[in-house]
Formats: sequence, C-alpha cells, structure tokens
Amino acid sequence: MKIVCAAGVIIFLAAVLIAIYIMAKGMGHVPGIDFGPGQYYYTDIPGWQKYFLPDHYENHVPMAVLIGLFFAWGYLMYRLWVFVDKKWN
Amino acid sequence: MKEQTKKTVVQDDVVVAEKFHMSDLLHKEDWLSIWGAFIVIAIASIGVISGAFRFKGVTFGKWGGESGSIARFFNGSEACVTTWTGVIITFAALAIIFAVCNQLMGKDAKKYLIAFLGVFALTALVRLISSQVTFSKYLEYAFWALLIGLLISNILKVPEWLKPAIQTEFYIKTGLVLMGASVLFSNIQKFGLYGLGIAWLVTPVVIIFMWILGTKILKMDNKPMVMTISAATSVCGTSAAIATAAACKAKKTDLTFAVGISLIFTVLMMVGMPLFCKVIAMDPMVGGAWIGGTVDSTGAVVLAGNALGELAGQVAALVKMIQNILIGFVAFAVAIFFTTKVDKTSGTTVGASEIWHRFPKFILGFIGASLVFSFIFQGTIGVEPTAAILSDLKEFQTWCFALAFTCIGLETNFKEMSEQFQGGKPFVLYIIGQTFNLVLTFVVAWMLLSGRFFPIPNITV
Repeated sequence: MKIVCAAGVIIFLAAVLIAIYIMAKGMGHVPGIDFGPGQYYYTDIPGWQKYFLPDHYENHVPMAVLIGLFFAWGYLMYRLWVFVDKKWN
Repeated sequence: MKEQTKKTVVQDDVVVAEKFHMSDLLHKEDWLSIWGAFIVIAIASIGVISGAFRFKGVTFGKWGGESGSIARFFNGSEACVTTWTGVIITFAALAIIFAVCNQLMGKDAKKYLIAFLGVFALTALVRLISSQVTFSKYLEYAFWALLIGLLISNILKVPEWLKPAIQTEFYIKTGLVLMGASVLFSNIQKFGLYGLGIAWLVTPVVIIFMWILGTKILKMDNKPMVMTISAATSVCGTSAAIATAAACKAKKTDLTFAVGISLIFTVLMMVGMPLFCKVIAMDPMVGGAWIGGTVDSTGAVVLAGNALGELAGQVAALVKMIQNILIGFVAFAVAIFFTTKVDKTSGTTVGASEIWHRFPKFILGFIGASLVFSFIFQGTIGVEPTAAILSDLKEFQTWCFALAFTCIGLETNFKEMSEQFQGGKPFVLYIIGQTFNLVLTFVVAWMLLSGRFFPIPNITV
C-alpha cells in the first residue's frame, strides 16, 4: 500500500509540474475560444448560450421515456451502492 | 429553554441539527440559505421579465497581455467606475441578505456586516487576481481564494473581527441554491438516448467503484472525502465537489483536496486527451463524447472538444450539459446515503422522520429552483428570457462560491491539511478512479456512437 500511495504522490507532483508547464506555455488554446478549465460550470463560459441553447440533435424519444430511464437507472444504481457497501467488508 | 430544545451536535467543524421545528424555517442556516437565494432569483427574474432593470453581480474584465493593464481598474476611467460601482452594488445586495439571515440566526448583524466587508474585500482581491488573462483560463477563483486564504491564516493571523463573516457552509448553500436554477432538467433530451447513455450510465458506476476503492480497499476513514473526490471525478469537477461536500457534510479540507486535484488534472486532460484522440485517429464523435464524459470542468470540455473539431466540440458540450443535470440528483442521493447508511448509529434503523431531521434541507432549494426553471420558466416566459435570468444569477453564484473558498482558506491550517493527506491516498483514489472513468466512458461512447451497434446520430454544427 505504501508503494501505491508513494506512486500516487509522485504522479500528482508530476501532474502539478506538467500543469504549470502547460499554463506557462499557454497550451490547449483553440482559436476563437477565450476560456478554459477555469470556467468550471457551463454558465461560467462567456456566451454560454451559443454552445448550450441551440438544438443540435433531433431527439425522437419522448421526454417521459428519458426521465423514466433516468430515474430507473439512478434507483437501480443506488440500490447497488447500498448492497455493495453492506456486503463488502 | 428554546436554545436547549434546539440543541446542536458539533462534530469537528460540522454542525448537525438534532430536531426540526417549524421555527427552523426562519432561524436555521439551511432554510435561510434557500430564502436568501430565492430573493436574489426573484429580483433577477422580475428585472428580466418586466424589462425594467437588470439585477446582476459584477465581474472583473480580463486584464494582462492584450486585454490591457490591471491599472484600468484604478485609473478613474469609465471601465474603472463601472466595475467598482458594480462591486459596491454586489456587496450591498449580498451584505443585506446575509446580515438579515445572520440576525435571524441569532447572531450579531452589526459585527457580521463589519466582518463581511473584510471578507468581501479579500474575495474581490481574489476575483481581480483570477481575472488575469492566463489565470482566468486555467485556474480561476477557487485556486486563488484557497491560496490567499491559506497564506493569511497560516502566515499572518486571522483577526478576531473578521471571524463573524467566515461562514463557509452558508455561502456554499446559498450559491448552490442559485446554481440549482441553471440545472435545466429539460436538457436531458438534448442528445436523446445517446447523451443519457454516455452521461448517466457511467457516472453512478464510477461513483460506486470509487466508493468501494476508497472505503474498502484503500481503507480511507474519511468517507466524506472519498465521496467528494468521487463526485468531482465522475460528475463535473468543482461544481459537483461543492454540492456533494455540502450534502455529505464533508470537512473543508476534503473539499480543498477534491477541488485542488480536479483542477490540476483537468489542465492535463484538456491538453492531453485531444492529442491522444488525434494520434490514434479516434472518430471525432466518439472522441467528443469521451471528452465530455470525463473532463471535469465544462470550460475545458468545450475547449478540448473543439480542439478535435466542431462536431467533437458539439458532442462534448451535449454530453457535459447532461452531466451538469446530475449534480443535484447525485447530491440528493449522497445526502440520503450518508443520512441512512454512513452517519447512523450501528445496529439502528433510521426512520423517515429521522431522515428528514438529518437531511441537508438546502438541497430541497437546489432541486426546487431547478424544477421551477426547467418546467415552469422555460415553458412560460421562454428559453431566451430564462437564459437571461440565468446569466444575471451566475455572478451572484460565483461570488457566493468565491466567498466560501476564501473562508475555507482562512479556516484551514497546513497541519490540518497534512492530517488529511493520509499518506497520499486521496491522490491514489483520484488517479485510479479517473482511469476507470476514462476506460468505461470510452467503451460506452464507442458502443453508442461508432456505428457498430447503433445508428450514428445526426448532429448539426
């Protein structure tokens, strides 16, 4: 476990150094886009409406079906979480 | 006597209400954060719907490089006057709401106001620094708020007069209720079954995987930290970390770790993932979905997706938009799970009334705001006015979170952080969890969008 944790720390420190290098070099930019990972949430993005408001896909599945599937999967996963947490000791 | 019946249990720096009374609606932090946020939402909505005024928080324009010098905020120019007028209005609006809430909570509103002026000034400094052109793109306010707060609390000493306004949980809860308005459930249909499959099939599986990894295999005692890091990894970084940390009553250092790790790796993934996709000639639609489902920050998702092309950028944004919906539901499930499974006394059964007593009520405000904007506002006033209201609310939400992160920094000492380090286990949890997330999301994205099993969706760009 100690070796795994040490590897985790080393990877994290390497990630910090690489992130500093990326920021110093201004990498990851795309022409015409003036934001980045600092915009955590979608409404943080300048002019977010341009990216998130228009419909780019014609959905034929009724909303009720999508909502039903959403809650069914969520409920199933919650039960699985409770079950695994209880059984795995 | 009243105080005795409303006894509270203090565990570490987390306060849990023992019993619910109707009067709590006007005196407890959770409820007051809902009412405070609803007042801001109501004023902003009235402003947009009536067209009479706009009620929005201020933001500093970018500075540095081609954006111009920071001096433009201090040289008496029009930009300078406009910005600082906005800062004063934002301060006044938040100060009034928070001071009234503090008075209702039985605290000294006068002392709070004096302290809030200091905390707000520090937060304004944070937001000014994070508006620097490079900082604003990569790190933004959370990093700088934590850093400045930590430096002050560990090198200098936090003055006593400032302490009444150091109310991290209150600012987080208020910010989250404001954020709830922008969680539009109607977005679930934006990418049909494809979006739901990529965003929702994987997310809970990753959460369960990381929970088992953290609590059973790595044997991390700090379960709220495991949960906060898991949500940040599987849902959407900082925003999900804030919501989940509040839902499972995580310590401030837990949130600091989750946000710090997420910010660092997001920078790497934003640059590395499009490069990897190009090197292996991955289909842009699969690549976009992969990026949308795994990169934590929404800004980085759009940027990394567009680095692969317009189609990939659009798919990435669609998937991330659906993931953003998950924040409230994941926070709700986490609150229920912690209330009924983690925080309960061994051998006891938690009844419905006990769940209600322990449940973090502000989540009801978060979900309530989401439902109102998703199903009432969009349908009655239209999509554009709803978007205008959300844009106006956005800065108030950011100020609340920036205030919270500044307070976290001011309340945290390095010794406390080193105790939570646990030999590096939080890093191992994130790295293995994110790797699992990357593999699983890729498999699902490839199965749904490669055209081998299902028809390729028609996306217009």
